[in-house]
Amino acid sequence: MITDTDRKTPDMPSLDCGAAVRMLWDYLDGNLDSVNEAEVRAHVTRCSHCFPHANFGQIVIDAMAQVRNTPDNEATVRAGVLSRLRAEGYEGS
Amino acid sequence: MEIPVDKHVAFHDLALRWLPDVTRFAHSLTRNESDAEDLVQETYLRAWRHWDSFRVGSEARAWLFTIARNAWRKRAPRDARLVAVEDDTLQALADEHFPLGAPNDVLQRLSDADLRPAIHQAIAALPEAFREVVELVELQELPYAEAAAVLEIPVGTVRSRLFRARRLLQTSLLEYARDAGLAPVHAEKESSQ
Repeated sequence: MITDTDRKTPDMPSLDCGAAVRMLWDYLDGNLDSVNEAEVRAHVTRCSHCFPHANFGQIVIDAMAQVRNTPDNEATVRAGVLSRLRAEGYEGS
Repeated sequence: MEIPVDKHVAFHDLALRWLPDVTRFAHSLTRNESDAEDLVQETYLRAWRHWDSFRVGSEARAWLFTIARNAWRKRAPRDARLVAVEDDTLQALADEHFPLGAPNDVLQRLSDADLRPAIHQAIAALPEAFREVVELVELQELPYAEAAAVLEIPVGTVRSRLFRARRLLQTSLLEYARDAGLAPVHAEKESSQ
């Protein structure tokens, strides 16, 4: 989450909420260039509307990172695939 | 990666290495373990049969996803699979009113909670057009352009679907928070944008 410490950034020119929201996910994904990244950060750390949106966005991104895992049934699936492939002439492992 | 000359070795090194990813993608399409296993088998069978058409040096994982998706589309009746979605522009989506409904203490509780079951359930409940974008971009970490190629849609559509999918996931997580007692039932009235 964005912390209260982050919120105490000095005042600086910033985006309006609409522009910040449009760039919010790219900001959280780390896909913005340094200028836009600084502007969105400055906005969300000062804006009482956008600050919780940014925090909530980060929570969703973190939650999805937690479910990037290997399927539990990989061995079973692999055995089934290899069986079918070998019937078609595949000789690998 | 050095490309093996032998077809069998090449298939092992370039195609079978992505089996866990293809399995997860198949599961996201079928939402059923048994159907997913069948789809993975079919995908690899097709890939093996058409291996000579695979351009070595291109992205094998995206190629396998495309095969899996095409096989699934052939297998499942379109009307049963797809819920029509409107592909709004990113700007229109960003301009939409989106009630957040989560004050900071609720967000903190959500941040501290184990959200894996909730996010699994929320992703599974997404309409297919959004779910497959989440699967490819968020879970498989494909670049937007590769996801767009697999899904045969413009990159801008990938971005707008991901934007809407993430908002749907946020809405689901708020419902989870209320069900789990992490947020008051009236929380949706406390904050909006």
